[in-house]
Parts: sequence; structure tokens; C-alpha cells
Amino acid sequence: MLKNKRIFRKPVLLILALAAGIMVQAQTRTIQGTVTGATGERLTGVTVSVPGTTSGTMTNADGFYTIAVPAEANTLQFSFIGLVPVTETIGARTAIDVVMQESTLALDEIVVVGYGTVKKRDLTGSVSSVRSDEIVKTASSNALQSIQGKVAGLDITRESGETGSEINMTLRGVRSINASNSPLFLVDGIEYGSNLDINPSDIASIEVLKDASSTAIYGTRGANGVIIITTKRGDAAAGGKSTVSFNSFVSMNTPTNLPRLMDVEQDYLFMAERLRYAAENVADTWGQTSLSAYPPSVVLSDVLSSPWEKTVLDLYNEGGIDWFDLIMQNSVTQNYELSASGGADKTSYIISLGYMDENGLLKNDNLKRYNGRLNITQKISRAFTAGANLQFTYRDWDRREDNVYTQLIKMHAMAQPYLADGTILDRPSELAVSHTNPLLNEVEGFYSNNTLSSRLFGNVFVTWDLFKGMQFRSSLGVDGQSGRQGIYEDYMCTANYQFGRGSYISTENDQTMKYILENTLTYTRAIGANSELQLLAGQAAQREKYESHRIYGYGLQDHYTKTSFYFLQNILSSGRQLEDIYTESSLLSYFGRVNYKLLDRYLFTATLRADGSSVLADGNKWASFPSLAAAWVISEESFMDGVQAVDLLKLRLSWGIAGNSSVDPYMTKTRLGSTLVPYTFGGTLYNGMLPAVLGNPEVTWETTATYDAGIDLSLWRERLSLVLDAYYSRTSDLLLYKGLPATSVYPQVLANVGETENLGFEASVSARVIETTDFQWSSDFTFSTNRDRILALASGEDRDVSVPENALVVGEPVRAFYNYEADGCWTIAEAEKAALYNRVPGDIKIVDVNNDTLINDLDKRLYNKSPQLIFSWNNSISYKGITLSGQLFARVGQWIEYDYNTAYKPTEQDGSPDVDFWTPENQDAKFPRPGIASQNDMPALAFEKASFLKLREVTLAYNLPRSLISRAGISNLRIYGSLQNYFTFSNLDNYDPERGGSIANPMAKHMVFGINLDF
Amino acid sequence: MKTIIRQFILVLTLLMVAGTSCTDFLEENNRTSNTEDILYSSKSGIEGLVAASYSYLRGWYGKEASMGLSEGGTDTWLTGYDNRQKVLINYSGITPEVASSTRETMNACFDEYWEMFYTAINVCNTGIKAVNNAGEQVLSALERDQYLGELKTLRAFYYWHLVETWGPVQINREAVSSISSVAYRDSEEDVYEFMLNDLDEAIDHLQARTAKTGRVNLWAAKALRARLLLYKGSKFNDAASYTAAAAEAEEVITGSGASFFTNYADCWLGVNENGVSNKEVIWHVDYSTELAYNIMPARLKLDDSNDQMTWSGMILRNAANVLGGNASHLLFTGVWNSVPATSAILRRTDTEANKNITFRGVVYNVGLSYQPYSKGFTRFVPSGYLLDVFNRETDQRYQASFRDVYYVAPQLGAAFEGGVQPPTGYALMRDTGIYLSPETVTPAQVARAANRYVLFSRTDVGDPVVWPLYETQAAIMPTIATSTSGVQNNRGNRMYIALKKFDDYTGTVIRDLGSKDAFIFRLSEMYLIAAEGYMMAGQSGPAIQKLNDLRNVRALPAQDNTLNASELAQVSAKDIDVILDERARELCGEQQRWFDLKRTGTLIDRVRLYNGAASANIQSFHTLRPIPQPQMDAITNKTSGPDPEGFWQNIGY
Repeated sequence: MLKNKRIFRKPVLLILALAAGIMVQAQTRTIQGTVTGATGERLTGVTVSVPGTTSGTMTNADGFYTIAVPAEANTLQFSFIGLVPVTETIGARTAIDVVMQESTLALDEIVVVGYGTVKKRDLTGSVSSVRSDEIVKTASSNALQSIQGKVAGLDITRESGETGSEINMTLRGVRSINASNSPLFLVDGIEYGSNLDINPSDIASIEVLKDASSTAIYGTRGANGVIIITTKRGDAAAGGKSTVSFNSFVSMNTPTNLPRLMDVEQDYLFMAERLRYAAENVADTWGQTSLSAYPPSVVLSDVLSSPWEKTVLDLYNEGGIDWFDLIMQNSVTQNYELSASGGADKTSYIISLGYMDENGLLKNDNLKRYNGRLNITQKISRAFTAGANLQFTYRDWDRREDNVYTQLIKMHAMAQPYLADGTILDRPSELAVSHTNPLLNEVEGFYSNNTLSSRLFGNVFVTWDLFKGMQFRSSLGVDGQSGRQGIYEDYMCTANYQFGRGSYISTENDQTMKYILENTLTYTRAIGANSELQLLAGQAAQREKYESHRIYGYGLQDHYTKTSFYFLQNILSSGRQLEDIYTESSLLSYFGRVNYKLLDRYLFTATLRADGSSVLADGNKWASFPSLAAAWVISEESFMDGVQAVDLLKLRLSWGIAGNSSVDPYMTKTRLGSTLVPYTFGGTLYNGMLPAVLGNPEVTWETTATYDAGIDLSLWRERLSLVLDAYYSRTSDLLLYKGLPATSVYPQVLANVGETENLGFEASVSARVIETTDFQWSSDFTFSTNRDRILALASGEDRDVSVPENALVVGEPVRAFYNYEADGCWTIAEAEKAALYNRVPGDIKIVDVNNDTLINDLDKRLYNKSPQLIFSWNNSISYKGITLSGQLFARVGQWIEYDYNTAYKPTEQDGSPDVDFWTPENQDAKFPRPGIASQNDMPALAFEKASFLKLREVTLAYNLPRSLISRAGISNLRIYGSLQNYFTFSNLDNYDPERGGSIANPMAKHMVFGINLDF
Repeated sequence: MKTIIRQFILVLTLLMVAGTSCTDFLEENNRTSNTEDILYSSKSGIEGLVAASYSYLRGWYGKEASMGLSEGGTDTWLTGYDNRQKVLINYSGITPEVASSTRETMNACFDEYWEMFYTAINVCNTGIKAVNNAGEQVLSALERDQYLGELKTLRAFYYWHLVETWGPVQINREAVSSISSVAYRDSEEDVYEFMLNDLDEAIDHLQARTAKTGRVNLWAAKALRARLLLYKGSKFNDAASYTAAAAEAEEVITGSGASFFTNYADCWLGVNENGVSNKEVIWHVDYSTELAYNIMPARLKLDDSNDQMTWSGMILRNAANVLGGNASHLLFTGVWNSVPATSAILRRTDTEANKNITFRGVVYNVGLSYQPYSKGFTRFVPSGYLLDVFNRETDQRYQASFRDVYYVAPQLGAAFEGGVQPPTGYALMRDTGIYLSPETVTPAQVARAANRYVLFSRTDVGDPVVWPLYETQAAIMPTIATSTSGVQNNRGNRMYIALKKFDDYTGTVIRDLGSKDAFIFRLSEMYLIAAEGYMMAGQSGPAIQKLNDLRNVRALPAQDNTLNASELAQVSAKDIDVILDERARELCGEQQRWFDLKRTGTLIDRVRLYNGAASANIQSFHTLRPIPQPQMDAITNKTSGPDPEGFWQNIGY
């Protein structure tokens, strides 16, 4: 309690100080003067104010002002849109004239591109950039989440509500079928991966490289786009002054739109209807009997049997239980980041610490993350500078990655999770006796899945300025990871108990060591007065080794809760299994780039990269990736001179080829399976290893050629900016498993046989609608639409629908389900027609596309899994220090396979999802009648159109006035509260459709309170 | 300028540094999975390969999916409540399509077995190549002979499953080393010639190998040859093959050393579960009590995330941890532990923690009393034909094969004796919990059972506490609609007379995973082969002799169990029914029935006659199974009908 008081004391003091400031307004004096622009013109409408008071005025048409200033005030502030604000100390003066400079445009900021930087104005490719202040504004455990909806063409979704869950990210659609569609993530130039364990406040910027002219410089890894994350550096110009920042948030997590199970009433109806169906089925008397013949007292057993303490009928009368309520819990996530940065003369640094404690909606779903970072740069001599960016991360992750949900969805409301004495009943439901209690997994020590991992990531570099314009840079990057995942599942856990197994123990240790050496030489030179040439030549070598060793197996039916997964001797010696993985790969690259700028308005870029890889067969190892781009800055043309409103009008065109590193190590060789196959003769054990994969020495990279055309427009000193891009990409040599007949033993071989294309358009509009000193409204809109298609599969094939969850059909989308479509259920009036299909009323009515009264492949359709369009609208409204911001986000057109729908099993004894099922009184229902014999049609019900519109985030923030906080030595203090994921609109009222259809680990909504503080 | 040039050269040198050993840098090294040429040139590598080539047997013998393909859809079994292959077994819309998880009821596992047998054959081919390549210093001549004999017998055995399931199939004579998108269908005659040729060579190689260890020995090879000759005889109506089959079977009878138990039941006892020591067994599939020894090789097919797919849980038995195990003890059992009124006391005690039964507030540790009763998976229900084919008065085999009574645990029975009130409604209950009568019960039986035990009758006797097993005396499916009062577990397709041959007494804790060996050849089959061979070759005397020899060892004490007059007449008339009936008595559940009916051309008629659920559906084309769709999809030389240059789907699918 005391502690809390102390926390509150400071704001209280601040408020008192604020009140005092208003009251002490006795004496005033008058100050006057003129405000002019850089070229001497008089400025009209410039706001002149006294910070911390209500005094203020504006300059008149001649740029002249007069203001009454309280006696104790000592500063005057001048501000005007598009100009750098000026603060003047009054001192003894009564006349103060001010010259105001134009502020820098975002167009003149530097953005990071592959192996270099470039002024935004001079970009020839399609690159989006998100700055640090945007990133820290969103409270998230993975900084990549903060750019969701901010970059056109980038589709970001969160994989699940589990802690540490991955972010799914695709850029400009999907192109690869078997390989990853995820962009390349680089942190300070080194490949990192999408699960970004970096403090959001350590990030200076995130650049998204979209077209091939930007990504071809990354060769085999560039086809899916490149995301460059640059961490902050200290400022050597800080003159020895350090800045200390503290960023923190607390998030209250609660479930959103949960799938529900039947309550007792539904459950009873379900069972009653099943009996009624059985009776009507025999007599062919659809709907002619009444449910009143099946009252609860008949349907539900009133016989008390051990171990249950109540009969099913009693449970019904008591109203049953809600399993989701029993399992789901609200939770709290906390995040703290503290950093110090600064520098002087030759040295600059940033040191940061981070701690995150993320909690999921299930007990024991917890991720603790500890980060430490040191970025340092030292100027060694006039020509040499050296530095390092290093981060150490330690994660301690407890997961509930078990089958608790699959078990949960089978639970009846009429069940007894606990006995009267409070002990958990192992098989809680008399109605489905084989199913075990999902609560067993929550007994202390019964289930653990713990991953400890540590990672040292970073680089050391040296730059050498050889002579004017020529710089050599060498960087050695390292990424060392080691981890341990231990799993213990007690024999009474749901995964084991039903099968009567022993307790399961598994421990896996793995380590990765990757190093990358990069040397680049850049040369910049002006040629004549009107043009500039930039050259880049570079070479990179990287090698990666991964090994993992796992021991696993079952022990006795004993509770090893104390020793858990640490004591592997508990695994029965006969059942102890081992798994070893070792991979090693290396990549050698040479690359170069030429930038040429003529007359500030004609820009050209050409790049070339050659990659040689160990994973390909001899004679096939090398591939090269070229690109070309040109841009025409129309606004620099003389005929545009008179058009003052246009800051920039630029037309961009680019073409390039990038690869996708979809070939895994050893894929070109025929391999034996890694597990031993045992057989015993008369008790003597023999182990053999058998051929597993037929190698293909011909495999090579997938390559994507992309054409991009774009327009950049900026008006009225960036009050309105517009970026439009249209692109077409064609991916060829797609690695597909060419299906082979099983008569050739190996049912597939990997070969470069496929082709896909993507055609898309994206736009982003950014407007500073209102911009006055006190009131600002900015509005950003991003929009993208993409259409992907398969152009070719293995020769002679126009479809491969062997995996209906991932059907491949030429001319159709890359990612699609292939299945029947349901049109409700057969009604009683349609009984005769249903009989043609061997169905009865209450069965699912499958759409017979060709009307031949046969339901077969010809009646199946494709369901596209990818969204057709994505848009996002970000608004931010500020009044004085108060900012209200929000993001409206939509993903439209994608289909999901919703597990909840297929969990409805009309003939099983399990509990069931609470779906709208068919009864003679409810013939419009989507789901078939309970008891109905044919479940073959159920998959047709799985598909749901998952378009959604979300108010993804609403944030109310308050930036405390500088005049107040500066007295406490604080330069910036922002406190905020936000609601994340609270408002979703879609077809599915019991599901957050941002996910792909799985009902495990539901998404959470978050109520967040946070603070950003700089000293 | 000089410095500039010097610096430039230095930088260029630096740039080259990493590039110098370019070829070394890009070399690929593998340190875990061995490659074929290295491993299979060592003795231990070949030994392991030969042993692993047996492991595919576990995919077929003692598994749910194969049971449906070999015993289901016949005259002997009807579909139980929870049968996962109803479409297959009832012939109600069998398709070549691959089952998906949500279409479990469709899962015939055609695609997996097609793959499995071709993979198994490829392993045999790889082994034959390796053994042939092995020099004297690697394998002795004796070992070479032994391994070649084993591998060729196994290869023939795997082909037999292929050809009998799908008809004409492609013969892969050698290990696959390159990819091919075409396939051909060799005629059944060619496949039989190939298999018998393999067996002739195997028998040559195995002359000195007669010890029984679970490996293929001379007698296993000869038993298989006898079976294949009989199949050849009946499929191609070939008298010479019949005669040869009989001769080969006689050799096995006299030479193999196998002999009969006096009590047929002993053959199935726990103490005799081991095929090596069971004296009736000629060759078996080993299932170990060490569960990890029962795992199967992974599939070669990859899933959509490019991981090796696992076999269906109906093949692995335990998909979650691929521990394998024999599942046959589960498939023929009803839900005896869920029969109302007795469910409180008749409980499966499968786990250590579960050995306690709490009854009327008192805990009884019943030990493992109920383990042998097995867990009721309700997959297969005996048909009326099967129950009635036994002469229960003279033949041991009904009582030895079926369980129709369930006893209360002795500990609880003693408590009832001692005055503890038995379950409500069964005040007189003592040692017996449930009795299922293969006949329609008499009023006296009903009266005897009243308040004493739960009584099931062959047909409905109109008494509300006597549960009917079948709708009619004939072959009609057990009804699912006899009751609406919540006692659904008493319905005939959930609780029925159970086949108990496969009861697993091996005593391991994990009951769902059986460790009892699966018997491929028992001595009695040789008698049946010889009898049929003689009969079809017109030698009724020796045929009758062989049948009576078998009938006599299966007779109840002091009972005349020899062929009756009408059976004798059948033999003389070459009426195959006499053989099929005897095979049903002796071999029911042992994964041969469907193939026997098919080869003798009686499948359609017998299913129509005895299998109520399938009778209306079965058609002539059902004697072949559909070629799995993935095979059809992957080949480029598809034809619409038989064609030596093409590959076609079996007609009707």
C-alpha cells in the first residue's frame, strides 16, 4: 500500500504545480517583434506563446506580433506548420525578432536499403519505412506487430493467442507452395527470423523492401521481400550528455470471442434428437414423432454409478458446468525496457535492458524474456571507425502445447469435473466415459513443456575511409543460439491417460552457430556538376551449423512430478528413443550495385548478386540475380517550377530477379531414414535403417521475377502524401514434390517444376488533415490487393488435389482448400430428392454442381485461403498533449477451415460444440441432425469466409507538458492506455478470424497501460 | 596517389580472402544419416536391413485396418457400433479416394497398404541386392543363403497381399533407383509365377534352416508355397496346383515338427502367445512386450509440411507415439464394462491406478482381474452364420473361440457372498455378471437369470430385462433401435458374443497396445489346404481323412466330431462349402476369410446370404479393391481398361 502511494505522489505534485502556474499570474510585460522566413519574407499566422501559460497570439499580415508575458515567464515559443519551432529566452529584451527555418521533409530522411542507405527522395525501388516513434507507440511483445496495417502490401497476422506465438507475415501475396513465403528478416544486416526478441524501444527503424530491384541484392533469399530492422545508435553529437529512457506497459489479457460448447439444455436436446432420429429412421417417418416423447427423464440416465456422485439427470437439473470457464483464465503481461544512450567526440553508445513477462489465457502459458543490448561505435582515427551491436536474449518459456483443447471440445456440460471433496475426477463424464478430464493437465507438476533458450546475436564492424568518397566496411556477424526443451506429461494427462500409457518424458538440446562475414566497398563521386555516381561491391560468406539431440520415451505409470523431464533415467530403458539432427550449410556471395543520378531527376539503379550454395549439387551451385530500376522525378523538371504545391512527384519502374532459399541441406542425396527400425527374433533385437528419400541432384532455387511501377506524390509540404505501386511477379522453378506412383516406391520427388504469378496493387495515403499548435489530426490509409495464381505444376499435371487441405490447380489460387460445398440440410419436403443421393432429411445437402445426382470430385470447389484485399486506416487526433489514436483494419475474402464446425460429431458420444443443428422443427439449420449416420459430408461444413473488420487498437495517450516535466529533468513523458483487439466484426461471432481456423489457444484482447519516459 | 593504390590493393586482397577456398567452403557434409552404399556393405547393416524387412508385417497382422480388409465384409463378421470402416465392410460406396481425418468412417487405408507393400518389397529388393553384393568377408555362404531365402519368401508374401487385394499389379524385380511416372499391371498369372519362383529359390536357399525363431525358415517358405498353390488352384481352376498344394502341405505336416494342443483353447492362452514356443505355430509376426520394438518404419510419403507422414492410427495402433502393438484383442470385444447395472463392478482395470473398484463406498483391489477381457472397441460382431457353424455339442472350438460369460471379480464375488448388497436389481448376483446366449433363451433361463445376472438372448423374447443380440435368428445386423431408455450399451452391436482368441494375457501395463504375437501359419491350415487340394483334385478319401484328423483333435472329450453324412456328401461333390465352413471354425479372425471367399468365388453369394448390412450393396466388382487415387493421379499412362501398356483402375470404381 505504501509503495502505491509513492508511485502516485509524483503525478499529484505535477497537477499541483500546474494549478499553481495558472494562479500565479500577477504582473505582466509586453514584448513585440517580427517573424521572417529564411529568405526574409514576413510570415503571417505564426503562433507565439508562453510555455506553461495560456498567453498566446499570432503574427499579423506583416509578420508582426505583440504579446503580454507574465513577469516570471522567461521563454517565448514560435511555431508554424512546416517550420522548425523556435524558443527564445526573453531575458531583459522587450523586442524579439525571429527568423524561422523550414523543417526537414520526411522525403529528405535517410532510409536503409540493402548494404547501404539512401535519401527517401532518391529511392528507385519500392521501400516503406517505419520509424522508432511509431514502433514504441504500440505495446507489443514482438515489435513486428507494431507495423501491422502500416505498410501497404504487408499482410501480418498473429498465429494464436499463445505466449510467444509466431507472427505470420507475407509480402505481396504468396508465391511458393512448399517453401516459406515469409520475408527475409535482417537485424543490423544479419538474418534474424520473424520471432523478434528485441526491445521495441531499441529499434530505430524498420524498412520493408518490396520490389525485386530492392531485394535482388539479397540474391537467393530476396524473393519474399526483405525486412530490415536497424537498432538505435548513440549520438556522438550529444556532447557527453546521456539520455535515459524507460518504456513499460502492463496488459490485462482476457479471452475474445470464444467458441462455446453445448450447455445442458442443448446437450439434452442433442441426445433426445438422436434417439428420435433413430426411431424415425427405422420407420421412415421424418418429423412425425414429437420430442415430448423424449423428456429428460427418459433420455438421461438417473442411475447412479460409480465413480460419479450425481446421475446424468441430476447434473442436467443442476444446470451443468462451463468447461471453458474452468480452463480459461484472465492474465497480465508486463514489459519493462530501460536504456541509456549518448556519446561524445569519438564514442557513442546505447545500453539497454528489457524484461517481459507474458502470460496466456491458460494456466502455465508463460514466457519470460530478458534482453541486454550494447551498441557502441568508436572513431579510432581519422580513417577508421569500429563498432559492435550485440544483444543477448534469454527466454524461459512454459507452454501448454498439449491436447487440452481437443479434449475440452469433447466435454459434456453434464459432467462432474470435481468430486464433492474437491479432487479432480479423472473421467468426468458418464456420457463419454473414455474421455479424461482436461483439468488433470493443470495439476501441479503434471504437465510441463519448458523451453530455455539463449541467443547471442550481433556483429562487430570496422569502416575505413580510404580516400574521398571511398569507404571499405567489414563486418563479422554472429548468431549463436542454444536451447533446451523439456516435456513432461504425467500418465494422468489427457494425452496419455485415455490410452493407458506411462508418463512421457522428453528432453531436447540444440544449438545453432552461424557466422557471416561481409566486406563491402562503396564509392561515391560527383561527375561534373549535374550527376552523381555511387558504386557498391561486396562479398559475403556465411556458414551455419545446427545440431540437436533428443531423448524421449515413456516411463511407468508413476507421478514423476518432482523430477519432471530432468531425470531421463525414468524413461523405461526399452522404450528410450533418441533423435539426432545435424545440418550444415554455407553460402558464398558476390554482389554489386551502381546508382546513377542525373540532374537530380533521372535516377538509375542496377544490381547483381551471385550466390553459391553448399546445399545444391556440384555443377549446379551458383546462380545470379540481376535487377534494374529507373525513376523520374517529374517535380524537378523545369516545367514544374511554377507548381509550388508539389514537393515531389516521382515515377518509378523496376525489374529484377530474386531467389527463394527453399532447398534444405542434403536434399540432393538419397538418404536413409534417421530412426532405427527394430525387429526381434526369438527375443533378440535387430535394428535396421531403411532408405527414406530419393535424392534429386538437379534441384535448384526458386526464382521470382518482379516488375513494379510506382508513383510517389507529396503535396503541400507533405500535408498529403501518396504512394501507389502496381506489380506483377512470376515465380518459376518452383520446388514441388512431383507426385510419383507408389509403384515407384518413393511417392514423391522434389523437383523444380512449378510456376506461379502475383498481380497486385497497393496504395498508401498519408494526410495531416489538421495541423495547428494545439490540435492535430493525421490520417493514414493503406490498401493492397493481390491475386495469386498457379501457372504450372509438374509436367502434364493440371491439378494436384491429393491433399484437399492444400489443393493445387493450375489457374487457381496458390493456397486453397478443395472440397464440397454444403447448402444447408435436406428438408423433409425434399426427402425424395435426398434419396437420390442416398441421403435422408437432416443430412447435409451437398451442392451437386453438375446435377448428375452423383456427388464426386466434379462437385468440389476451391476455397481461396488468401485475402483478396487488406486495408488499414490509422487516425491520430491530438489536442494539446492528449492524443487519441486508433487503427481500423480489414482483411477481406479469405476462407478458413474452422475446426469448431467439424468438431460437431452427430453420432459420437462426445460432448459437442454448440452449433445450430437440424431438427424437424428447425430445418433451416446448417448442421446435420444428431444421430444421422453419414458423417462423410461433414468436411463441407468446415469452410467459413473469414473476412473481418477490426478496430485493432484504440489508444488514449497524454504527453505531459514539457514545462512541467522539465523541472523534474524529464524531457518526454507519455502515458497511455489502449484497448487492443476489442472490436471485431465478422461472420463468426464465436471466433477471432484473424487466426486460420484452429480452436486451440484462442486469441486474447488486451487492455494496456503504458508509459514512455525519457530523461 | 601511391597510398591510394596501395590501399586499394589491400582492400581487394581482403575481399578475396573468404573467396579463396571457395570449393571447400561449399562442400556438403552429412554427419547423421548414413547412406545406402556405406551401411549395406557391412554385416550389421545387412542384418539390420533383413530384420527391418519383416517390420512391415506388423502393418498388416493384428491391425484394425487390415482386419477390415481381410475379415470384414465377409460371411463371418458384421459391423460393430464403432467400426471405422463401415463403408468398406458394408460395400456402401467404396471409393479409391484417400481418407482424411474427418472421413474416418471411409478409411479403408487402401493408399497406405498399397504404399506399404511396395515399400516393403523395395526393402526386400534392396536387401537381395546387398546380400548378392556382399563378399565372403562380409557374409558367409550360409548367411547369404539364409538371408536370400528370407528376403525372397517375404517378397513373395508381400506380393501375395498385393495381388489378392488388387488383382493384376506391377512386379518390381529390383530396388528403385530412379523416378518413373509410368506403371504397368502384370497379370495375376505372372504375379503367381513370380511368387512361386521366389519361393522355389527360397526353399533351395533355406534347406538347412529349420529352426523356429520367428525368421522365415524352410517350413515357413513351404507353408507359404502350399497356400499359394492352393490359391493358384482355385483362382485358375488348376488341378495340378491343387495336387501340388496338398503335397506341399503334407510335407509341412510331417516335417515341420508342429503339433496340436489337446485343448484348442491352449493355442490362444497367454503362456502360449509366443510364436516361437507355441507348438501349433509354423510362422508368426513378432510383437514384443517392449513396446518400442514394435514400431513400424515411417511412410515415405510426405505431408503438406513435408514431414514424413505417419501411418493411420488404424495401422500404427497408436498414432501419437508410434509404439505399434497388436490391436486384434480390441477389435472383437463389446463394451462389457459399460453394461448398465453391472458397469459399477465390471470395470476394465487397465492401469495401476485403476485396479481399485469402489463399490458401495468400499474399495476392492481387484488386481488385474479384468485385463484379459480387453477393452471393447466394438469393431466386429460375429454373424449368425459364424455362431451357428459350430456344433457346440461336439466341437471345442466354439467355447475356445468365444466369450459369452463375464465374471464378477473374485474379490467382489466374495464380498457378495459375505453379505455385501450386489448392484441394484441383481440382489442374487455372485460370480456371474453377464451371460450372452448364442440361442434364444428359454423361460427357465430367464427365470434363472432374474436378479442374478444380466442376460442377453440370441433373439428378442419380449422380456424388458433380457437383451436381444440380433434382430432375427438370421444374419440381420444387430439392431440399434431396441431401446430408447438410455441403455444403449446393451444393444447388439455394442454388446455381443466376443471372439476371445486374441485376448492378450501378456500382462504389460499398457493395454491398448497388445504384445501377443500374430500367427501367420498354424498347423491346422496345412490340414485344410491338404483337404481342399485333395478334394478339388477328386481324391475324396484323403480329403475326408485330413478333415476328420483335424475334427478329431478339436473334438470335445468323448464326443464324435467327425464329418456327418451331409458333409461327407459335400466332399464327394467337391462342394467348397464344407471347406469354407471348416475354415470358419478353425481360422475365424485370423485374417484369411475375405481372401478365401474371393478365391473360391463365393464372396458375393455368402455375403448376400449371411451379412445383412452388406447383402444389398455387394456387387461382383467388389472382389477387387480400388487402386488408390494417389497412384492413379501420379501415373501418366492411365488407360480406361486393361492394356499391357497402360495402368487402369479396377472396373467398377
